[in-house]
Amino acid sequence: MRGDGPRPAGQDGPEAARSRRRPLVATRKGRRVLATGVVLAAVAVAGLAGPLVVPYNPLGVRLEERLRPPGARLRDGAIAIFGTDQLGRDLFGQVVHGARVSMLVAGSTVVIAGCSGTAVGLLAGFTGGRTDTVLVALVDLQLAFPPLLLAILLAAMIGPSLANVILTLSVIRWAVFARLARGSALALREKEFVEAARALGASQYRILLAHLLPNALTPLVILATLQIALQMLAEAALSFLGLGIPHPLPSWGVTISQGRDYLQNAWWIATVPGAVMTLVVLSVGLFGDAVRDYLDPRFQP
Amino acid sequence: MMPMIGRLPRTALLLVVILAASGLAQAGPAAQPGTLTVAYPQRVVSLDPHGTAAAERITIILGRHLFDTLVTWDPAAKRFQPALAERWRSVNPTTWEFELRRGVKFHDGSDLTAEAVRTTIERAKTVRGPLTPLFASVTAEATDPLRVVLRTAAPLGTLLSNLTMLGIVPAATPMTPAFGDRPIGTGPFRFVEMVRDTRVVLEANVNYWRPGIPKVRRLVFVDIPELSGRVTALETGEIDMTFQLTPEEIRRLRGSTTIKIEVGPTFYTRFLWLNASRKPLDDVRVRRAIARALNISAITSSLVAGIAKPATAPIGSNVLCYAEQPPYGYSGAEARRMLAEAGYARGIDVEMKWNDALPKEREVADAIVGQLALVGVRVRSTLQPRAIWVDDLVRLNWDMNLLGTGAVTGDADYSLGRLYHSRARRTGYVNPELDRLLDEAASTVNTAARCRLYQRVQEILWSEVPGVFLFESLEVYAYRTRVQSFTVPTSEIFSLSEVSVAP
Repeated sequence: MRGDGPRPAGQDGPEAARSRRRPLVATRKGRRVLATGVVLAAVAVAGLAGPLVVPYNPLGVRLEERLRPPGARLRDGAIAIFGTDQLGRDLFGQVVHGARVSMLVAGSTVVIAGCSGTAVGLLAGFTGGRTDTVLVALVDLQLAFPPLLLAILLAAMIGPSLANVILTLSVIRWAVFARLARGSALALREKEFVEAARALGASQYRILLAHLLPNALTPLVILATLQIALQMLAEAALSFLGLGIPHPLPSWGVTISQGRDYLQNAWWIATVPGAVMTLVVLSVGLFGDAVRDYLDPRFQP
Repeated sequence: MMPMIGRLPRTALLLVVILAASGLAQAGPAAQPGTLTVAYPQRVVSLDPHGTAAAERITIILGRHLFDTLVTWDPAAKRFQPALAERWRSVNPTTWEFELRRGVKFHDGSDLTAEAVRTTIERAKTVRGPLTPLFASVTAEATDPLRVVLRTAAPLGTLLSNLTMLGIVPAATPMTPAFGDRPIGTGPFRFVEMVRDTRVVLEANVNYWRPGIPKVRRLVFVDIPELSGRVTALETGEIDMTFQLTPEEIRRLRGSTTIKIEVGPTFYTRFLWLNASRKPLDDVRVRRAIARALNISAITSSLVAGIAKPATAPIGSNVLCYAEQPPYGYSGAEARRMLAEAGYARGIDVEMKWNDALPKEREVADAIVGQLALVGVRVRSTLQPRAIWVDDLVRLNWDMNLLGTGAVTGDADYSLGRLYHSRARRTGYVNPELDRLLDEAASTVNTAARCRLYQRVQEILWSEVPGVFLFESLEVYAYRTRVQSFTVPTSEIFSLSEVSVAP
């Protein structure tokens, strides 16, 4: 995808041009992007590399070490930083390994839902007419369902597995992207540069891919960052209900759900992954905000 | 009179309202004298003692208070005791005669007659429910107003056990489940109201045939499904009693001075069925290896501490005809050796299906998977939604299945005959000798002779391992100290007829 299509005049103010040429650390907006990005990068590294460093065996049940508080020294001399769960498994390892599952699910579902939704939205907005009517009706139909309820229905029907969770959560999110992409396409298709491309004899596909898509991308990227947070929560919710990540894969939602029964005397089981998840979701949200502010030249905080 | 109500009384009234409101806010609804409030976790589907919910625990418990049975089983004395029937005798192997207690009245004022017993038997057969098969071959005849003769198509060894389940209802009770909305019995309490998913209210039957019973005026069962809600209500005094607690709550409440905790037996056993009709579980050595790979006492002392103890037979130790078996003998090395001997030195792959209806089942499932992994039994653990799980279970579509069952009637036959006869097709295990023993036991009327047969059945099930029998469930009762003379029942079915409350 090339980003060299003519930009709509309004978005290309001198300020934007200036801030974009300067390095990220030089502006306040840029520093915010970096600061929130660092947290995310840390989680990403922990999720990707952590499992290689932190050993965790979901089958490693040690009943004699169960419900140890954070920082407890186990019988083999190791220290359980986050404590142990109801079966004596290390909670730190569980959280690190759960991060991988959470990120995999959130990342892949946003990519799948984002790509398919964007394609549908751009096509609908750009072609208009009957195609638009049909596609918009589909989008509205999808949006009329409460997303989590639909996810529960689907998950209950096809059964719990990692692939099914990804499929389910992709299905419930594409319409959001489609609606946004269609709006952008509707606005963009009347612009002079599209007219120009058409006048120069560019094909429909070239106009869609080379001119519309790059210009519609910014809001979609911002939406995607926000959706990542929502998808992490949705995965946790599904797992919490027993319809998400199946045994023995660790997932934050599964850990929280099982720790709920022990809140009275082993608060850490549900609280630690809950706090980590809150932190990650919050930083994804802040990162999304920062990126929007950074990319939007007219926004003055 | 009107002008007399001046300013002062109105102020006083206001004051009373304010005081009452502040009192409520501080202590919750205060316990009422003579009223015993019990919170239960299950839904009350119906109070019909013969309907579809007849084997549901809460329906049986409420039935204990509303209805009487002809006979009751006394596990301490190991014999049947008279209740509505004062005397009975087996005329011949297929005929029983019962002589009813004189002067017993139903809550609606009608007399207990042989006709009522006949109606009850007919009703249990007509209103479809779990009791229907127990009485399918029984016919009743009222030979005189207080004498009833029960005839069975073939000798029925379990008849007396089954009768301990059968709440007697008045003659001419309609054969419709609507009776469950306004049940009438001879029991120590009469029905007042049932608000679905909220509460069931009973009041004392002052004409009860056993003198001095019941001891409380009103019995209120409130529906609080969430455990934390039940425990909080108990701590604030909103309720007097509850049951089904987790090991964690038990440990916490043991420190309380206002709440007493007691543990009692149940008819419930939990087990891991091994499908002997599938490879590699068709090999008894593999099944025995699995039994020896499980460290059951490690689980009962941690995950299910206080709510289960290691099983010592395929049925609970309080069930009629229980015969104690030796422990499986936990040994990982031995389990590995037995697997290797069976030709699976590299271990086996099996799937375990389960459903999380039983307390701590998720933790138990995880622990089993972890323990079996140590000896090379690689288990795919599949948690299924209840409906799908039941469907797979009865179609034998599983390698291993984690579940439990209650001997509802308290008789060995209810679990053993129903589940392990090859005709039942429940476990995948087929053994003609076992079938013969079960058939013979079912048609033996003499209790001692029956128990000898069931003892052999239990030995076979224990050594052939169609399932690993894990735990005997225990029941935990938590009640405030104002509840007096509560005796731990011999099964999960408790009665509050002899309990009193301090004001």
